[in-house]
Amino acid sequence: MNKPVYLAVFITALWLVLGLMAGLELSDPDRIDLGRILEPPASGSLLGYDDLGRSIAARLVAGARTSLVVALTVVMISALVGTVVGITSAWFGGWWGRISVMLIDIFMAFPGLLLAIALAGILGPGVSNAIIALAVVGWVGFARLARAQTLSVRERDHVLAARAMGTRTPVILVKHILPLILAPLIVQATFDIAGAVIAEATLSFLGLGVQPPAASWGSMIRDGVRYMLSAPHMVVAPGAAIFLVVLSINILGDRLRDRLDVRMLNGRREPAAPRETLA
Amino acid sequence: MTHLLEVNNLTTQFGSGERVEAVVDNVSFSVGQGETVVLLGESGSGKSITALSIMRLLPQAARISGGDILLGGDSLFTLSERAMRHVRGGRIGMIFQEPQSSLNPVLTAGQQIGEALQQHKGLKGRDQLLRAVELMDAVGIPEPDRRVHEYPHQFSGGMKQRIMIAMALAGEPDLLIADEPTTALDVTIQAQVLELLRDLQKKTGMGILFITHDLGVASVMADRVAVMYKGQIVEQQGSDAFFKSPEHEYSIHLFNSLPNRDKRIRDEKTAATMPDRSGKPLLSVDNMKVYYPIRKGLFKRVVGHVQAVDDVSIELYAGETVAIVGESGSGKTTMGKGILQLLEVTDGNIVFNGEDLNRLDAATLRKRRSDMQIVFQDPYSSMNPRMMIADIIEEGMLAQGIGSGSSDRQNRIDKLLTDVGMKPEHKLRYPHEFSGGQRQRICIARALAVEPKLVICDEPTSALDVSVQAQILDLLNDLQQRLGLAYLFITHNIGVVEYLAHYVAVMYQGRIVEQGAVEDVLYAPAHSYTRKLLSAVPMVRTGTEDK
Repeated sequence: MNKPVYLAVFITALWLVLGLMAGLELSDPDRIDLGRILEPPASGSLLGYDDLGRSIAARLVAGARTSLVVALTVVMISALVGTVVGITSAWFGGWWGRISVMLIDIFMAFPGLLLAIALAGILGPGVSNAIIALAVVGWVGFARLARAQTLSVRERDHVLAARAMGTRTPVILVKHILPLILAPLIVQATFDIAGAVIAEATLSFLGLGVQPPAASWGSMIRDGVRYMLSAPHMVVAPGAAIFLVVLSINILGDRLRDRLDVRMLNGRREPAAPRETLA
Repeated sequence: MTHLLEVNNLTTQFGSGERVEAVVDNVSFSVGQGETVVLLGESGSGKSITALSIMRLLPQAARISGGDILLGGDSLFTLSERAMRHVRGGRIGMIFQEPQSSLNPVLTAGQQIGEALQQHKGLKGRDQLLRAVELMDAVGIPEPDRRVHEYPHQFSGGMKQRIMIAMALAGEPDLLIADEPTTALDVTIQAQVLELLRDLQKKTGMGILFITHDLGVASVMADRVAVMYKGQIVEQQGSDAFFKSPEHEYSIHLFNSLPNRDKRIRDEKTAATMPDRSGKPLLSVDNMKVYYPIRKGLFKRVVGHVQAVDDVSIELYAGETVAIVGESGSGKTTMGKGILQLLEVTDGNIVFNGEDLNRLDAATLRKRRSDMQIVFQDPYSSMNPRMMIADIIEEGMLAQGIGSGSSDRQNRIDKLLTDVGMKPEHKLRYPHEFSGGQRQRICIARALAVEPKLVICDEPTSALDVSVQAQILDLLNDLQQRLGLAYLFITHNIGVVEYLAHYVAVMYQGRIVEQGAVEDVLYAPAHSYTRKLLSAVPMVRTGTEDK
């Protein structure tokens, strides 16, 4: 592994740890210290204070939790729904196949984030509504991928052999289809986590995500925009956090894709099999 | 006397450091003007790497570590890469096994032949086109003026291989290297391509280095035969002498592995005696049809049908083998899958054990599936790479409720593996740890796990080397005697039919054109297609029995 990958692992791990730690309330992100309003970073105050005198470091940690919870929940729901829709669509075909493809096409036709913003606007602000809005947009990618992959392994002989033995369809799907299409889905999930972090920040920036006083990196940037010239640290700190976390996850995703691809290649070509000996 | 091509003590290695493996090990042979030398060997014997060493086109992991190759007296190893480019396609032409992937799909036939003409003859524009047409005419492509402008997908497999040959001839080579040029082709097409190569050799006097695994093809083509085994040439003889009396143990083994009538008599298999055909047939197929609609236009209207299987009738009794013979696209695999209800049958009755499978509901059909099983051609894709052997074999038992419990099923798995010549401890491994032949054994064990009466064998040995094929056929024969299985054996290999089958049906374009007892159909064919098919099979001029 080279240096960027180590760094990416470190930053992602930090994000996970901080996100989980925020629940322990080590420092109160909502505590107001009127004497320190807009105080820039200095010794004694790690990242400075915001316009209400709250510690930006503490709010950054609280924001990590928000982005972590939203991103993981969204990707889990999307992956589950999308994979089920995709596999069943390809396997059963017929009217379900046609309707699911039509649905996928309709959702793909909209720019994802715009649709999510519109949905979040209709549902009203709040973390759970943001999750719902993002998941509604997110499942489509998984569905399309799972469908395409299933179509390509569906005709393999071992699937046919399983049918010839009278194996029940759910068993075939779980034992013969899913394990073979898992690798690209895992890679897709990794990239989607990064996308969800940005999407959550965007919704919060627009005021459609978490509600004040709860902290999110997106809402922190929104609060900071008004003071951008006088107190740039309010924008820089959450902006850098988003940038670093998304970059790190993407680097890891790339890495993961390379690894899984190589293995798939070997799986297809098969490593040199032992030679038969002369009988 | 100087030869056209001289290979002296060639050694080519894979890997480096501790893990060096000599894939070609101290190989020496020569090819003379107008002579055809056949390099005969099974997969992994190093024959293709020998050819690539001559062309200096080895994969990155490989390295020539010793020996010399002389072309017309000049060493190829001392040439610069630039000079070598003129040799490739210029003095040495090469054709490959897979015509589908050897041609560039976005260039016309003429452009691809033209490329070689420009490189080696400096021809351009109109001259180039005219010469390309000439070459296409020479390799027997009809209407070359028109077809020179067509793309690879507009040609059939045999025609594509002819284009490859035209490209190889463009540089007017002294030596042609043909690496399994007919392996991907049907036998009737193969016969045409082989004849074409012999004709061209007569006209141009070029030497041919012909690489094949097929004794029959070798027998048709060779002036001299060099047998490769594990990277070494174990025997080199004139063709007549070789086919009369092969000397090396491995060559003799190859001849003995060849499935045919002689082997059937030699091995004294029951296949030599006709089974009793009284009583009710196990399987009787009446007027089976599998049609696929052709849809066209905006509204996907059905404008016609592809008649993949058309009005086919066949009967199969317990304990006997019926072979379905045909070339690719004749509908034999579709028929097999249709019988097992793995694809939708358009029309006809498929009566198995007194029940019409077409009319069974899904639940009943699932229960009946234990009576009929299938073994596929490709041992690589027919097992789930993520499942252990034990789970693969157990799957059918679980689906059919066979075995009284987990330990009983494990015992059955052990016994099945032993039955097919594997070891019980193999069950805790994954498919990729086994060779093609071993995998095919496991597939047979999987099929037998549900205690079937009928096994459909869909080209089960086509992907295997001839010596491994012999073992698998032997196993199938054995199992038939012990368990009274009926086989529907789908194959394109006439030798396998002679060796294994009692009855045979010849398929052509979705129809059965002729069927009957093997002896009748193969030795007194009635239909013109059967005669054409049989005469196209390259026969090995064996003389081994005389000894």
